[in-house]
Amino acid sequence: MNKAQFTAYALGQLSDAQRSKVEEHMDREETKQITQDAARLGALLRDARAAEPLPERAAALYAALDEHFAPPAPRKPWIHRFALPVALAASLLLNVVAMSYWLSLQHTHVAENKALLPPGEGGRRPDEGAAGATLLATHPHPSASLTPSPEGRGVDAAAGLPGSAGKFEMNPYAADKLVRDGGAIASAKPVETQALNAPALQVWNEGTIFESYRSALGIQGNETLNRNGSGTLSNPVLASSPLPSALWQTDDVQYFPPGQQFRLSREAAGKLVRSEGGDSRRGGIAVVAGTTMPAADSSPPVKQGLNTLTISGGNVYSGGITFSAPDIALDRLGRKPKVENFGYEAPLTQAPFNQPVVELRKANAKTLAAQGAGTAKQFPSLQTRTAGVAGEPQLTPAVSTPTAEGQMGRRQNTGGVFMDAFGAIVAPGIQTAVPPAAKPAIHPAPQPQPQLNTEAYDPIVENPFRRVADEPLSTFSIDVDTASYSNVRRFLMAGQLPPPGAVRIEELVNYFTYDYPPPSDGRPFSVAADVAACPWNEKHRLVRIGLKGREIDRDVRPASNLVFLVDVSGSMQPENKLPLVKKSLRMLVEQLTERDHVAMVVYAGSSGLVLPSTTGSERATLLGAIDCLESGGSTNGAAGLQLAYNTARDGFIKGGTNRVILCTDGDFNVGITSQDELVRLIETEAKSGVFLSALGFGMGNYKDSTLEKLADKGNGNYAYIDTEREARKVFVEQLSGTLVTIAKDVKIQIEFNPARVGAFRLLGYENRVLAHEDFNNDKKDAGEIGAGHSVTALYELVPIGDEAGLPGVDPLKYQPRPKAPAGGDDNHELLTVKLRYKEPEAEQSQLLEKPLVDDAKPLAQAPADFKFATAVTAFGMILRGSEHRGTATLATVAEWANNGKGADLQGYRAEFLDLVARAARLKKD
Amino acid sequence: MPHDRTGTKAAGTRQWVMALVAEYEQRLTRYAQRLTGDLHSARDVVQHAFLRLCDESPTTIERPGAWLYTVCHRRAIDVRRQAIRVLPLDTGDATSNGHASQPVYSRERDPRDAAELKDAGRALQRAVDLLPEAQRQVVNLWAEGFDYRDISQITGRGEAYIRVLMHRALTELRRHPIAQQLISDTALRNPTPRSPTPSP
Repeated sequence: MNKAQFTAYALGQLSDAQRSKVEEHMDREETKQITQDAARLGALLRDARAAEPLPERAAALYAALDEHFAPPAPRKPWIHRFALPVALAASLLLNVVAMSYWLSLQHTHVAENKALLPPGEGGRRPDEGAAGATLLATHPHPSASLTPSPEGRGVDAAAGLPGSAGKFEMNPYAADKLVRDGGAIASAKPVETQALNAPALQVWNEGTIFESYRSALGIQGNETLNRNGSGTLSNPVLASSPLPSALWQTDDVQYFPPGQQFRLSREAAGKLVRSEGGDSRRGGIAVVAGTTMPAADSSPPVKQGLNTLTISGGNVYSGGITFSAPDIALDRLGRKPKVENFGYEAPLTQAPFNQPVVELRKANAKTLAAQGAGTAKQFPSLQTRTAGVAGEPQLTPAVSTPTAEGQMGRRQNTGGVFMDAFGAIVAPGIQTAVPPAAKPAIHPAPQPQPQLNTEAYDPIVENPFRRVADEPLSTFSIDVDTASYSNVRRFLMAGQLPPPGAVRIEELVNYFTYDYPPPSDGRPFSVAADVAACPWNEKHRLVRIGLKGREIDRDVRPASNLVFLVDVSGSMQPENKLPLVKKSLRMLVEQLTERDHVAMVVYAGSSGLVLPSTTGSERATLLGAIDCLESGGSTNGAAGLQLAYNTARDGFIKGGTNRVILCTDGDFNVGITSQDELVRLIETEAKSGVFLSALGFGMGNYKDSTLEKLADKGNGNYAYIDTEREARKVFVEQLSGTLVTIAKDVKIQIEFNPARVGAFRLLGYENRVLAHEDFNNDKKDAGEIGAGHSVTALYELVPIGDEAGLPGVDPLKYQPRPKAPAGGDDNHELLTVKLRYKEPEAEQSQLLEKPLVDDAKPLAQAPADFKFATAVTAFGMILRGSEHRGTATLATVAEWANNGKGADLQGYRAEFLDLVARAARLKKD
Repeated sequence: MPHDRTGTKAAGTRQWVMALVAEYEQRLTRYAQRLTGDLHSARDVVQHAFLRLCDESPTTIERPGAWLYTVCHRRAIDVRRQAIRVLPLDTGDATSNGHASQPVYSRERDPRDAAELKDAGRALQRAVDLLPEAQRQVVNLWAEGFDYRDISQITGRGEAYIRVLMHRALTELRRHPIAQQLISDTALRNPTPRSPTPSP
């Protein structure tokens, strides 16, 4: 008796049958004690939890929900709609102008670097000096922050007087001191105050901005900070002061010894980051059009800084600076830094002294949001912020207020960073020590780092339009796989758009069954072709080629020899993997008869045969073995595959279905992980008559590319199973198709009539395209078709005369002109479909041909299935971002699909419509 | 898509969501806090769950309680995984109830704590917090009022495994002196096994 049963019994978690079983054992004192204790503990736990205090309700949640349910906002007046772009454009222009001006000044100052002050309009000199001091003071640059002792500050303050000595040593405290010791700097003070009190919008005035740049440059031009190579100040007093000033713990500016990492962050408006990253709070977009300047009356002028230029729209560019210094951990306010507000993280290495290039890493907003506070914890640091805190739901275009969070206001002084629209940071204060020869270059931000995702998709390069004059043939192998559709569905259901590489149009189209006439001439399948107008480009025609495999009655299905190869590695643990595999296999087992044989091989770090070949009628044994599957360990796919093939060969049924069914998430992380080696193994085995079907499960580290290749080479099919319903479709409704191959190496070649068709494009089948000469090469592997399967391929045709805009080669000089088609101009044939296939065990291929005549049908008269296939194709093109999608939008897709929905007995097409709606919602967000 | 939220259907959904918020928000927050160890992340997790709920409807979700816990559970695990390399920060004012300023599931044994914790429930929870992760999750969900089937759905583990985890957890808990004392205190009450508990 399993002891866990007693606990379950005590907690009332057993069915009646199980209860009575347990009760048989209840006469023993020990068992009684166990169950009694368990029952009491169980009750105690619940009582204790009920008595536990609950956290407060979160207002943010209600706000987010209110916003979610809010009726659509009325259209804003035009001025609001344009305010943002205009503000952005203006600020961009300003920055560019200011930058170029600044850069040119750089040059000038190279020449003038002996001068104490840059030439200015006489009376304004002290002004510039003071503003420069403010900039430097408010900018906690490592150099400026070299921890002055009180005496050092005194020296600084004295030296910091504009125009005093040749050296202009300055630090934030010097600036404080400057202002505080009013008498000593009487000349500087009024001007400084004036600068600080300037209304925010005045900063828009170019002159003011220039002034601020110039002030910074004033310092620069004076070679104020004279450093040695390691970036320490040459001033003996400063250089020798080992500790931060007495104020370092209380002031907002942090002082670090040189060598610490220096980071700049951009506050991003929460909306974008959160909603995209799936993170939850939905704040409004912070729109800050204007410049932020702390209001002079909110705190003493000393605390102010002409420093924060906030240009934003959705994203707040700001002078928020984060210093990383692991040894000075601290949020001294005891606040948890909210790093999710920072869309940018810009590590400035300690080299800013001699490295003029300030590179900004444009962190992927998603990743950052997801990491959330994590980043902050990683770099315990002081966060300086500006207003426009992303959590605030709405900031209308306005000058933002600096003190979003009380005391935080002080921290804003540390900004002093300008960021241009390319995401590069221009920090005047930082570049004070740029060697005169080095011209600061501004690099655009590097590409965002991709979000960590280990799902693998091969990129798809779409088939281009081909001119019939250059190439009248199109050859490809059929593909009956449907995995891409279920995978796309999984993404959309999870509220995400699928990566373009995951969208294979032919697999989307073939997911649905179409009503083609079944074969009547003894062939394994029938071929149908029709043509109608192309809905996304009215000049074009759309050709549909449909294959329908012979149906095989379940009762006359040939005997099967199946080997389940189940991945039981640790990655298979989630509910949508191994447990779903078990459910799927149970469904399959229900369909088997005594003629079928089933074996089961599991693989993880090692592999083993858990069920030797057993007939399908021994259902209990089979189900028992399936129930025993447990996950754990790493994945050695190849060893298991070899064992499965050996097992299948041992029980080979001649004339029957011999198949290995691989159930995995595709992550082979031990042993042979090279696709080539796996593929070689599978190809060899496929020749011996054992085919391979791949069933993909799960997500996160799903390897779509591996599985598709394996099934393709193994003469099998590939399905992605995301739900029980999908498992039912594959294993119950379409079982014979899954198990019984009625024809293999099916290739299609289309010859176009150059008198009718100008150019053509095959929609989908990108990785199935064959060389034209391989069509008649029976050694060349191609797709298989199962019983009852239907295969659909669509071509978009450009009628003759309209192909002018398409890329092609120049008319050929020596080649014969395209001859009139065989039937002369009277030949109305658009194209001829040629098909080659082999019977499942044959080596010789057979040929089928079927011409198609264009009857100039509009789409409205096309069969419903045609319309539906069109809609699915267009959907695929949109998800993939195809350039050929023409006028197709998700709305038109929904309309076409609705027209072509037909009876839809199983509800698959209704589900497609739901997916289209979901995709539309996601695209809009 | 705002425009299809108008009308009676949206109003119905809203009512449904708000009722569930009223019922579950605090409990979910507490649960998520146990998993993430910090109230801020817990609130984010809960908000995520409710916003996802807005895209569903009463017809698509049979047992919204279990569904919400499932979403929260997975989200919280994700959040914690992402924060795994992160140094703990003192959350100070971050928690509304004073005792939770450190991770709820601190695994340090401190005998003085046990002496100080007079409240029986808290003492028991303290013992639960010492359990291995998997067992702790199961016990916490049990304490929230879920049965094995729901716990299996929420944690994504098989029901048989839940059964084993719960058994191991209770066996371990029973060894704890606090639990022993509590059990003997309540021994006077009726100890018969409960009938299957309805899920909340």
